[in-house]
Amino acid sequence: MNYKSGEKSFLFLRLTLIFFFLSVTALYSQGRGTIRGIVTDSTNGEALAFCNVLVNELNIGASTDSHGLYIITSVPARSKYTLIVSYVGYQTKKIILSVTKNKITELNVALSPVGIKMETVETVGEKVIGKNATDIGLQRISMRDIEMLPKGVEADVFRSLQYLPGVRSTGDVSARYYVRGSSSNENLVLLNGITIYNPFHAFGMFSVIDPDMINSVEFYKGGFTSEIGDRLSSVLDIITKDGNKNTFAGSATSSFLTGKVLFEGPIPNGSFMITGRKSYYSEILKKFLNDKSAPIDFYDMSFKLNYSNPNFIKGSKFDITGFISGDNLNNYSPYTENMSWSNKLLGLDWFQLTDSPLYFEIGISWSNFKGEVDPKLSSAKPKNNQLDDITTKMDFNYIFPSKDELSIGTEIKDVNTTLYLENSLGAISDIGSSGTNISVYGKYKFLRYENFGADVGARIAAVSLLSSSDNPFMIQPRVSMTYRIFPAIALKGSWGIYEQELTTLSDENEVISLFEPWIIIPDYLKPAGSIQYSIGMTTDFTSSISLDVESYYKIMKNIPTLNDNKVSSTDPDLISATGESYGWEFLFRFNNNPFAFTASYTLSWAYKDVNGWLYYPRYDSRNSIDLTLEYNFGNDWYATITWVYNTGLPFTQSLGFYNKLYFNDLYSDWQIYENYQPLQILSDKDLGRLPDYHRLDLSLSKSFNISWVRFRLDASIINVYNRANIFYFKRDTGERVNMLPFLPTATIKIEL
Amino acid sequence: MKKLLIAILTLISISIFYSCSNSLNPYAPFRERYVLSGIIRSDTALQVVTLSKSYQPAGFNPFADSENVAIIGAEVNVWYNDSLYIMRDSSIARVDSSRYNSNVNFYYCKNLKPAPNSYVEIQALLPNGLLLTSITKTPDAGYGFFDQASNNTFDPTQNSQIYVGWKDLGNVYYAPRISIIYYRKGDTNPKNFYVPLSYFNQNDKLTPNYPQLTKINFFTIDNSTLNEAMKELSGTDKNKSDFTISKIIVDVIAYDENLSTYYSSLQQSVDGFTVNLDAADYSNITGGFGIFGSYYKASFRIDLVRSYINSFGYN
Repeated sequence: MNYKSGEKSFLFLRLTLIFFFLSVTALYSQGRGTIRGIVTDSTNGEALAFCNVLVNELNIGASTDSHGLYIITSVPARSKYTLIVSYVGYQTKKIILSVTKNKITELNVALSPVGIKMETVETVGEKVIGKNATDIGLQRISMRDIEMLPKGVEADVFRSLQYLPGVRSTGDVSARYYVRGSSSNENLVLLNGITIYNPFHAFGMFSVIDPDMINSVEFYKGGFTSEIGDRLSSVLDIITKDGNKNTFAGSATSSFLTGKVLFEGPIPNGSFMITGRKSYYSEILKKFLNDKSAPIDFYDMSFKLNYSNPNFIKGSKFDITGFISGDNLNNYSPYTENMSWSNKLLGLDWFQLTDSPLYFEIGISWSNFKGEVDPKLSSAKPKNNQLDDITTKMDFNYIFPSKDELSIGTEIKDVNTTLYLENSLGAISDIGSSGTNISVYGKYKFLRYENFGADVGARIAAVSLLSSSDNPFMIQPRVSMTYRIFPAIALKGSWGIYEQELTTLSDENEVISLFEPWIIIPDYLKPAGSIQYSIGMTTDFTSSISLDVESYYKIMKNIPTLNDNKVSSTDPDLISATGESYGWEFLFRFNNNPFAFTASYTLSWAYKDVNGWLYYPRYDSRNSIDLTLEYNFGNDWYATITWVYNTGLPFTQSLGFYNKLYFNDLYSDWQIYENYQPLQILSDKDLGRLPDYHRLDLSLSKSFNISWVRFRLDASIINVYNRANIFYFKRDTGERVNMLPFLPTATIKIEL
Repeated sequence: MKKLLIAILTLISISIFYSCSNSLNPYAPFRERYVLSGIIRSDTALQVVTLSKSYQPAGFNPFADSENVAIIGAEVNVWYNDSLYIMRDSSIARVDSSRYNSNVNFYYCKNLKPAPNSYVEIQALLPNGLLLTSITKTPDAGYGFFDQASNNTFDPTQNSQIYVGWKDLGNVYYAPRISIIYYRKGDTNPKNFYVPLSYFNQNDKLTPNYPQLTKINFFTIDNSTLNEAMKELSGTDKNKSDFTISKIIVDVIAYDENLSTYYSSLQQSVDGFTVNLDAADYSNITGGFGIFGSYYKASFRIDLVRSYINSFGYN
């Protein structure tokens, strides 16, 4: 793609915009109106994402987005309509309203919870809405899903992802996840739209996201559309709560590892929420670290402040988000290294509804990651990484009377990274670079046909982070389509080209690592890219039974991969690799209170080719089964059983051992005669397979009130039958290291 | 509903039962590999290398395999300055017999002392006809190695610290060692007292920080550290006048590039917690594993002014 073709793309985009705005004007004056509003929880004013809003007489509707916003266009003007607003766990509300020609009828709705908690948010109401939603690869995860799963010490949004088909981990120890055959640094994690670069505590054992602060979670396993950029694999989009708009409230939770608090309440024309979590006892983490003690000390804090004053700007909402997380492993001994890493996020977001079916969102944010290993007098290697990302985003959305939607936006990302590290062969990497990426995107959603939906768009990087990029106008076209062939069956498909300019200098052979240092892809490599295809089928047999089937094929090129053979500081840190992955995913859900059952199965293949050598990456698992059974005993007693099965992960087999000469100090007695230790000779990379992995977990929870205080007790048992799932073999001693053994844990949550 | 619940629980139970096989063979088919280990030293004409072969223990524990893996009967030749040095095989009794009962087998030559910045090449023809070869370039640590700005006399009234620097040989390791050379009354042999780079105060106890292998080509020692070392030299002996301080000798061993990379690879983890399963195993032996490297040891003398020595009661 050269400069001229980039200019042509801009011209095309401009013409498209003009055409559609003209057609809107024509259609808009044909005696129709629009219904628009925000759906909230009546008890706390929190926005309810993914609600059903239906105009009963017309059998048309919309579902709410992450702001709780719904917009129903092209409603014939009439004095009486019944609007039905429904959401699982809330009382359905019927509202009579009138629609005036060429006007927007504003109707904000507050739903009251009914205390039914067994249903999941995915089974939305009457299933009328979203018939043509272009959402292949998208999973919506509710807080309840996260809380109901057995907890490996703490409830964790990242660990809950690992129960989804197509998502894998490489061990119980890590919350790091791998999606559809891609490495973990190709996953994007957004908190209120701000990128978190290292979203892990304690060597990746837990995520930095405290589930208590979450309002909604959307997880794209692939096929995400053009508004999201700079990642090849998946997007985890987490929206935090606004805070209680009605009254001051708080909660405190304690587990074997952390204590945490949440405080929220109203402010004039808005609300706030503050959370804090701190580890206070790390002894239980020995179970994760092969009985090795680590002075792990971590914390995270967040706040969100929102302000919405019609007297200031009508239809506006301003959010300020702040987030800090930190991990420190400080050793008193001067002969033991100190380690620390932290994230800092700050963002301002302006969401604006206008007097037409146009709304826009403008945000500016700063994300900082810092990680350091201070070896002091130990033999540890120094490591120092810092990344600063200042991003400005603008998104404009227009909903046509035909129900079609046009979205355009721009993103300016200014990134500055520094990295100093010494690899295991003593070679030094001293990298510092900065750059700016300016991307624009446009997409058009055809939603005018009830049984067909299409999202056609493209993302264009006008300026690249890579200063030497010979391809400044990288076009990433993306298409996602849905066709409801029968009322209960929808066929879906997507295709897209994806690019990524940031990467980590991480070693895929590390099964436990401190943190992954981020850098801009060096100038001697091209930006990483992938082409993804997916097709699928959603089947809703009844209101309580559904089956989703998806298949994907992904080709990856220019994947930056650590150069294992870097022995000199002048050798490149990264080399280019290619990859390929494909598979089938099945997700079956049965949900009939008091009983819910979810079963998922994944059949997948992943390959990576480095320097002509093709191998299975460590996260390639052929067959995966996840079964979850939930039961509501009544009186707020709930039980969950999960069983996970994966065929063995690849590992590099041993060709035997040889006696390797070790020495520390050549001043001491000559060591060449006897100072040898065994070391494994490795066979070809990842040709062996570990035994199959499986694990049964149980959890039991009970909620109750004492006076005005609400308590929730959770007890979990991880690995009920104490399966010895192998994690790895130590290379020097041949010792087998297993994953989590039988592990009982408990948490208590107190809500005021 | 109950029937469905029972059916699902039964399904899970059956799945667990059938998936309980746990056989694992960590080994690929065994192929014998060969290892050459040798470090050419500058401080002696006796050079030693060892040859061994790989093995595959019956179980997972390599220490359970106690069969001697040394290779005997190989032809080991070394070339230096266009001269051939033939290494002979020999053996000595093992100090640590916890694993192997047999002697230690090795190859040696007694007349090779290479100069700095010169090439030494080795070829080992194994009894089975396989050839292991390698080459090392000795570090350029000869004349002019030490930085002229280094203190060759230390006078606390003139200097606030001792500084010693040396030539930057690239991305290689140096092993500095600082010794106070002294004599005790009645002894004719000099003794060494090793001086740390600094002391750490931990719980009101001073812990010496001795020099480690480093890639930094200088060190400094503060006066306070040297003062503390001078005090510690005589220990609890109150008769300070029985000690005669001669000088400070700074030794620096410079590793060649191969040996430096090899030393780095010995630290399989970059820190105490990272677990790297397939970390690169460095070797510069063509045809096998192991290391053929070299080091050079250079020394530098620092004189202490007499008034400073006497201030501690020493001669």
